[in-house]
Amino acid sequence: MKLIYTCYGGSHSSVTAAAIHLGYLPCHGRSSYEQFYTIPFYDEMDEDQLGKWVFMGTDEFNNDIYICGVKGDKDLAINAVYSYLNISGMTADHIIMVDALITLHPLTSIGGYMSRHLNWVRLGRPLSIMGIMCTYDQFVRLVDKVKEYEKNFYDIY
Amino acid sequence: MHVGILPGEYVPTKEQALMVPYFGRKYASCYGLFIYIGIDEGYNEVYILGAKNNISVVKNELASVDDILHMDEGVYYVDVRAFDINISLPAQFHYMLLKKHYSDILKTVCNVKAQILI
Repeated sequence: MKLIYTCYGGSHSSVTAAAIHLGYLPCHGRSSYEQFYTIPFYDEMDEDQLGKWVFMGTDEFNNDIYICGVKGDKDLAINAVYSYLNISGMTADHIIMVDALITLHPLTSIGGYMSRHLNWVRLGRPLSIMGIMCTYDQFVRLVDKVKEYEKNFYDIY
Repeated sequence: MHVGILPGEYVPTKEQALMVPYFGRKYASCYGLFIYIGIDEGYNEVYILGAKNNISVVKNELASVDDILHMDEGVYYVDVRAFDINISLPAQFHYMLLKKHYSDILKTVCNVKAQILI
């Protein structure tokens, strides 16, 4: 199965969710500020990379985990993938796209904009991390749900 | 035009244009969907795809799908946003746009055919 976490810019929310999923960040309790600096691709996606599936790792179910920035139109991005697979005669059962753009803290929005658009990385990145830490529980809950889905998926098949 | 529903030699009448499937209709739920229009003389399937202003995101995404799932569908994208308007208007207005851009659209179709039908 390929699991793709999507968010606006593919730099913060999707990377955080994928990092929790893969164990780069703790799935219980809180993460530390420093841990964010060890996550691959955190606050690094460039504008011309939007739409690309970036491989983050393989989880305990042997599923490949990707991140993807889809700008503001996740429905368009999801429709395009499933429709493309459909016209190509492929089944889409094994492609799961997860919207990781859950309640975004204003600090993450502001920090992300500063870092990715204005290139004020030294100011924007810490702000984005602080914002993510404020809503960390929601990311953990999202990943728990996804892992539950994965477990059930393999029970069914 | 590419699949021969509209003529290449002359500007179609309003009735002809309005009979073309999906002409002048925009549905939010259809954005991102490949909608089949027909097949050309080179047996290439022709689709339409509404991508708003995010065509580069969609192209990157589908390139990733090709790459990761080892698919090689040989998709050829033609950006025709220059001939369209990004708001919902009655079909009659779309016909006026079609008339205005007909020769340019024809030129685009001829260029595409020259590249894919070898």
